[in-house]
Amino acid sequence: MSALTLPATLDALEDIGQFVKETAVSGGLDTGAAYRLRLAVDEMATNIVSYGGVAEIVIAATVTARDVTVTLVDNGVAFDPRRQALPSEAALAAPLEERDIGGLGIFLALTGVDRYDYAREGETNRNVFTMRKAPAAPPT
Amino acid sequence: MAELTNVITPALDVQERRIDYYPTHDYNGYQLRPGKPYPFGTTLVPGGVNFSIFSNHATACTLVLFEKGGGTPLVEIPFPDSFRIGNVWCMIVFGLDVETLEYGYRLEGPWDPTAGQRFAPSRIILDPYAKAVGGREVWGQPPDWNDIFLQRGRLIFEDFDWEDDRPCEIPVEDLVIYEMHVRSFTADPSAGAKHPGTFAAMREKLPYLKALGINCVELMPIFEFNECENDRVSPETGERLFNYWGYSTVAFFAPKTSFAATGKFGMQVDELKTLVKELHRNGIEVILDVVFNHTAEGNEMGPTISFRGVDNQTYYMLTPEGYYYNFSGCGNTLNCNNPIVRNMVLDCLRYWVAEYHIDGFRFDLAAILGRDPWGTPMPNPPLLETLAFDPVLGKCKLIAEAWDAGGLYQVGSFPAYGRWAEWNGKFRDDWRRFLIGEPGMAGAVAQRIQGSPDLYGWNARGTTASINFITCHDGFTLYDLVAYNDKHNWANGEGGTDGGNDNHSWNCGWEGETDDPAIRELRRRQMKNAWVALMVSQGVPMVLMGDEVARTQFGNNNAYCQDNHLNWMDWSQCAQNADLLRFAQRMIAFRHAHPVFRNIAHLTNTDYAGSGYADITWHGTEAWQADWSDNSRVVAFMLDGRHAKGATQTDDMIYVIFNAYWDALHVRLPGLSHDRRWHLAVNTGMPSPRDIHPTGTEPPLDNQGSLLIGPRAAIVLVGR
Amino acid sequence: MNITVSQRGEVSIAAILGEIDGKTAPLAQAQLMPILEATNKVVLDMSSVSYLSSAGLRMLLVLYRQATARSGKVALVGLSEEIKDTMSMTGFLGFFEVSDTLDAGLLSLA
Repeated sequence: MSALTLPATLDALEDIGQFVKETAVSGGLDTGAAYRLRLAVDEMATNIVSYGGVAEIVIAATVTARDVTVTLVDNGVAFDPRRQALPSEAALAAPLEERDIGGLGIFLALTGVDRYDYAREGETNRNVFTMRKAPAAPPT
Repeated sequence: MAELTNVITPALDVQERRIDYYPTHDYNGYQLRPGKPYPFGTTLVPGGVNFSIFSNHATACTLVLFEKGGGTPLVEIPFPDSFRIGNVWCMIVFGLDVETLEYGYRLEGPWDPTAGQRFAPSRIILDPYAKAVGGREVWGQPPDWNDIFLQRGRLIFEDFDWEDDRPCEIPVEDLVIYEMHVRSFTADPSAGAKHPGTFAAMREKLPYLKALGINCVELMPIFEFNECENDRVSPETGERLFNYWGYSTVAFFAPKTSFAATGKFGMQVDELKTLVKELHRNGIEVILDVVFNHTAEGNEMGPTISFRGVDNQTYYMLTPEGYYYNFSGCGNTLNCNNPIVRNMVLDCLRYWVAEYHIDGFRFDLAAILGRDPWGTPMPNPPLLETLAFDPVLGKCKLIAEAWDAGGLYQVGSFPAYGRWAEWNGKFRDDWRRFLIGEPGMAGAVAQRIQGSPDLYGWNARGTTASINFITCHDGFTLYDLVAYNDKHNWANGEGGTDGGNDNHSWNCGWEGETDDPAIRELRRRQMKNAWVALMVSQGVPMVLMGDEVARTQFGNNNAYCQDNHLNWMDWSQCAQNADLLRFAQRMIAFRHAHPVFRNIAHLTNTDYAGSGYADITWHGTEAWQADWSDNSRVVAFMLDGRHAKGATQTDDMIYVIFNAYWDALHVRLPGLSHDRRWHLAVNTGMPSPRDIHPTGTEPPLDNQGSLLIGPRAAIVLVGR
Repeated sequence: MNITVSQRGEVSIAAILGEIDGKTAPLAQAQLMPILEATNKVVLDMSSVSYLSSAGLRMLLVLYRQATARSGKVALVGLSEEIKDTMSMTGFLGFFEVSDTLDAGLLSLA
């Protein structure tokens, strides 16, 4: 499992993006899945580093034959995004200038990946993003 | 500079007055006189050369002289009986050309193997005290086995201009040792050396060693050996296999001629001395790896080169039937606790200290040196005691590999006499097992962090008894430790069975080379964790050549016979792995900057300095709460700066956290008194260059109360 | 081996021709030593020395030591690449003023 510890600042986002891209390539995700994974992780990481009181953020990745998993760990206050009100259909349909930006980011984070999990373990938040690999083409 | 003391006074007029500068005998035109028994070997005297050799069982002796490289002797001069004193034959021969002379002996005596006697007067024998050896000037050139004298004694001038050099005498606890092989260091074309694989080439690379920050090199064997003594080829490539490492000594007083670019001119002695002098000038000590447990002559099937033909029964440990004991695993065992052999070892070490300014010695399979002539371990071995109390060796480092191939394992119990240090095999094994995440290792590494008081505390040997290492020439390189689960020794031609099996290694998910960035990143992190473990532990750290740039032997954990990329340093890795090299340099500098890592006595876990903190305190994910349970994979400790070097120096507070767990953990930090704050020196979880900050530039932690440590990572904080 | 001596101002120039080995080094030393004793500054012109063994190197170092003891100076000029290389690896080179040409050698003693 590869892992990276980064100071929780906006500068970390570039390293995180790079890390997810490399993980997606080595995990064999197709371009679309790789893009959605990166977007999801990036949105959540942005949320974490923008929130006060977090000093470090750890990103880790696991690749198996079936899927690619990226985990973000931070030691900020408990924050389960699944409990936040997601934007309503109406809000999403609203004109751009009227939308709530933060809520949209979380929305993207949660819905763009095949599976999302959150856990509070001790003093840490764990955001787990999983993408299933496209099934291999059947042998001809 | 003491210029005046170096003025050479032409001694001709003085010489004329001494009676013993005149010959008394003539043999076929060679002018002779009775020699002096001491010192053994050859000594230049005005107008001639004093030859002296001892054998307790020979009946007659003949001096054989050659012109350099000559196929037949110039002359064979039998020692007149009046030239023998006791069991020593000694003779001065006048009018010899020191530069072009080669010499050997024929010794007559019984051939009675069951009685341990194996004299072979048909062979010309190399002087055990030869100070230089000719005949094997070019590395790797297959010898002409029909040559009547393969390895030939040579004479040397002992007039090297050391100016004001002497051994450095760096306190042993301040050393960072770099174990290296002279040839491997510069043999690869990537080294760009003018004379690859030589002492001279190593000197060209001094700036590299200096930048790395090590202050001691430990050279794998540099005494004359025969790299071509095996006649095997690699089953993989068909290339010749060598006795490459050189743990098979031919001549204990002679530097390896083909390790010198000037060896073909007979100037290997000057070249090596120049290297030592330059190393000293750069503040780097020189320790030699010496092999006194066996010789290159093997068992009864091996060649008669020197000792066997001089006095087999004296030099070797023999069974009652006259066969060779094999406690070395190499065919024979030198009879080190025989008083005569003991004296030879002492003469040899004194010679290297006095003539070559060597700073210390590492004794290969040193447990053998504590066995009596019948192989039984002795409680008070005279050789080890003699070396420990010898005045010439009085300031040099004595390091034992405290085990042998006969099953004697003495780590922690090697007879030390307050002098001997040991290669600490427990340090290697415990740290390896902890870093790969084995359960139940937290308590063990806590001992290693403190300088192994469990091993060396009982007889008050202190931290400096422990040479700490995670890798050495035996076994995996640091990179291979994180890239291979199993040894891959097929190329050694022994069916892959040679080399150790207890490697405690983990390949991080793939056996061998891979492009997988995740595996590569984890390996890098694990290597950095090992560097941290070495540099923050009390005791004397030793690193293996190339571990700072991820040198690989492709899983070969016993590359003793490989004269190729398996052993050679690949200098292009300095650029490829610049981040690791930078990390290693900074980590070494960090240790040098902090005396709190370099205590002489073991840590006490008490506050003997009255600072309010114990010298070391133990923590876990919660401050002040260490977890020693089997499932704990976290060890955190704080060193109190006012207890540095036994409270004789003041340093910063240091906090170190190792997380060998596979997940990130939240860690609470102990508070600091007064206005001190924690600063981040090292975090192996962070990408380079944020993984390590140069001393003085460490950024303060935003959150002084806790931090997040990544999976399989090490963090070092400085409190100031 | 033979040695030709000339004088340029206060500097003696000794041009050595041939090979310096264990046999010829003592002869060279015997010829050069009186020159050192007579003048304080000596240039050894080595451009016609085709071979220099360890005994030759030692002879040079003895001259150097003798000169320094008298506050004199010895400069070497015209060393071949091979000789320079050997002297460098064995630590002899650092003791001497070394120049490529005779003029440069004279300048180094000025």
